[in-house]
Amino acid sequence: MRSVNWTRKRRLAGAAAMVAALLALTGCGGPAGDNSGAVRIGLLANLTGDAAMSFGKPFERGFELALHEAEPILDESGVSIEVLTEDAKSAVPSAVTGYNKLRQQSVPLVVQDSQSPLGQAVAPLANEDRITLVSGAGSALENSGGYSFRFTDLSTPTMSVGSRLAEEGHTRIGLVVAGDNPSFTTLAEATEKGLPAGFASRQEVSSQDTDFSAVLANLRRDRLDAVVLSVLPAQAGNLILQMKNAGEFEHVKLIGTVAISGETYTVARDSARGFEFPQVWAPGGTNPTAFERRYTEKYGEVPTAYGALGYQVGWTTVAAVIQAEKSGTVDGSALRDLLPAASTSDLVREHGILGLEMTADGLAISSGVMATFADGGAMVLAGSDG
Amino acid sequence: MDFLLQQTVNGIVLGSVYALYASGFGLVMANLRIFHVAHAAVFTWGAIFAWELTSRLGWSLLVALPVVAVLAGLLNVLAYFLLIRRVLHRRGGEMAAFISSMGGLIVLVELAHHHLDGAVVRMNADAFTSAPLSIGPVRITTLHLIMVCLVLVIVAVTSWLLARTELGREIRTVAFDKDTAAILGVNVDRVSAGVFFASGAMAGVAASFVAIAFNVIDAGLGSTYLVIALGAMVVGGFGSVGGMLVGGLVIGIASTYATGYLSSTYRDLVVFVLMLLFLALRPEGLFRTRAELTRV
Repeated sequence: MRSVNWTRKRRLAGAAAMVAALLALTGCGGPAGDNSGAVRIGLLANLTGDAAMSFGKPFERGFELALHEAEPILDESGVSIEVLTEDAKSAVPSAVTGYNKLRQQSVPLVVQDSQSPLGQAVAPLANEDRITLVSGAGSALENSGGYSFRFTDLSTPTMSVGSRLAEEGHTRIGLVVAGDNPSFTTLAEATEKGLPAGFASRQEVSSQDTDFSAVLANLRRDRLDAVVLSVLPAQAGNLILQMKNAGEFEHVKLIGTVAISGETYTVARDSARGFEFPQVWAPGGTNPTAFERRYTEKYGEVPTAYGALGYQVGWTTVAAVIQAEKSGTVDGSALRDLLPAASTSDLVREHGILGLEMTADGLAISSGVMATFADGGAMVLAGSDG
Repeated sequence: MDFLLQQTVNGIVLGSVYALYASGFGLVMANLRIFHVAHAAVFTWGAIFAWELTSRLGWSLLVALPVVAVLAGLLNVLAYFLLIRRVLHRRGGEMAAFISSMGGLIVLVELAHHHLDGAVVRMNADAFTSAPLSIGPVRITTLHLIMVCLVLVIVAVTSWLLARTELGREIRTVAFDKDTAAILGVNVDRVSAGVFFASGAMAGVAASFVAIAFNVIDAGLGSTYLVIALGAMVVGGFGSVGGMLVGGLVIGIASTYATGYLSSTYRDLVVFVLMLLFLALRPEGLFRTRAELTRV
C-alpha cells in the first residue's frame, strides 16, 4: 500500500513538473516580466489577409516611422517605448488571439489599424482588462469603461462628398455598398446625408463578391449619372474594371469613400483614372511634407492615408506615454485619461500631419481632402474638401 | 423583359463556369464513387498557373489556357496516385479516399498560401482584352462570350468521348464495377488517371476564366466555389456531365436572379434553398436514369 502511494506521489510530481515546464515553454505562466524599463505598447495590425495591403502595412510603417523619429524626444524625457506587434490577419479570431497575447505581456495600450468587426471584437475585452484601445474601426465600439478610442472620423469627410455631388449637378446617384461590413453601411449613410434626394439606386453586395454582372445590370437599368462605391478598396477596383468592360458607364461619375486606397488602382489600373474619393490625407500637395519625403525614403513608396494615420497615432501615443510617465503611472487608465489631450498636444501639433482630435468619449474629429489617382497609381489631391 | 433577358444571360455566363468546375468533380465521382475534395485545390492551382503564365511570363490567356489545362490535369493525376489509388482498395476505401483527399486539399491550399505569400493576386489585364458587345437588348463582353462557347464545347466533347468512344466505354465500365472492368482487361489505373487528368484540366480552364473575369486569385479560391459545385451536382444529378452543365446553369441563373431582383445578400440563401428542394423532392437530380453511375 505504501509503495503504491509513493508511486502516485511520484506520478503527481512528474505530472506537475511537466505542466510547469509546458507553461514555461508556452508563456502561460502569467504576464512576462519586463526588466528593460521600457513601456510596452501593443500594435495589433493586419499584416496579412485582405486588409494588409490597404490598411495594416501602411499603418504599421507610419506608426514605426513616428516612433523612430520620436526617439530623441523620448530619450530627452527619459522614456523608452517597446512596440510588441501581433498580426490580426484581417480576421476576428486572429485579432482576438493577438490581443490576448498582448494582454499577457501586460501592455497598457493596444493600437489596432482598421476593420470594424476586429475592433468590435477586441473593444469589450480591452474595457474589461482596462487596456486603452486605439482603433481604426469605422463603426462604434463598446466603450463601457471609456478605454476604446477611434482615430477614424468617417462622417465629416464623407458627408461632404454627397453635397459635392449635388453641387456638381448630379441628380440620379446610385450606391453599391458592402452590406456585410458595418463600416461601409455607415459610410453610405454619411454620404446620403449630404444628398438632397438620397440615393436613386441602392445595390448591396457581400465583401467576398467578385462577379458584379447582375449588379451592373441593375445600375444600368436605373439610369444613373453618378455611383458611390462604399466597398473594400480591391472590390472597388474590380467594380470599376467590370464597369469599364461592360460598357455604358463611360459618362457615369464614380466616387469612393475614405476606405479607398492604392489597392483600388492596383486592381483597376488606368480604368481608375478620374475616380474620386475622400481621404483624411493625400500626398501630392504643392509642398511635399517632411513626413512624405522620409516615408518614401524609408519604405520606397509614397505614403497613403493609412500611413499618415499610423504616423499621427504614433505621435499621439508618444505624447500620451510621455505625459503618463511624468505623472508617475503608465497604465491603461492613465493613458485613457491622457490620450484626448495628447491628440491635440503641442508635440503632436508640431510633428503630426493631420488635424485629428480624439475625444474623451472615444470619437475622432478630423477634416479631409478629395483625392484621385494620377498616372502610375499615385494618390494625389483632387481638391480640398471637408 | 429586356432586363430579365440581360440577367438570364449574366446567369448563363456565371453558370457556365460553375458547370465546368462541377463537371470535373462529377467525372471523378462517377468514375470511382469518391468525393475528391482536393479538386477544389486543383482549381486554385489552375488559377495560379494561369496567373504565373500570363502575369509573370506575359502570355496571353488563350495561349496559356491549354498549358494550364495540362498542368492542372497532371496535378490531379498526381493527386490520384498519391492520395486515392493506395487507399481505394482497402476496406472502406471510399471513405479512406475521401479523408485522404481532404488531407490533400489542406496540403495543396497551404502550399498555394505559401506560394502567394498569403496575398491576393490579380491577372494581368493585358492577358485578355475584353470588349463590350450588344446583341439586341443584351450587353455581353467578348470574354463572357468566349467563356460560354468554350465551356459548351468542352462539355459537348467530353460527353461525346464518354458516350461514343472506346475510351468512354472503358470509363463507363470502370464506373460500373472496377473489379469486373479489370477482369475484362481494362487497365483501371490508366482509365482512372485519364479521368483525373480530364477533371483537373476542366478545373484549370474554369479557374483561368474565373481568375480573368472576376480578377481575384487567392489560396482559398477553389474552396469558395466548392459548395456551388456541389449545388450544381445536386441539381444536375451526380455523375452526369450533361446534368452538371444544366445544374451549373440553373445555379448560375438562380444566383443572378437573386442578386438582380432581390439583393446579393439573398443569393446564397436562394441557392441553398434550391439545393435543399432538390435533395428533398428529386434527390437524383434533373437527369433521372436507371443506373446513376452508368450515365457518364
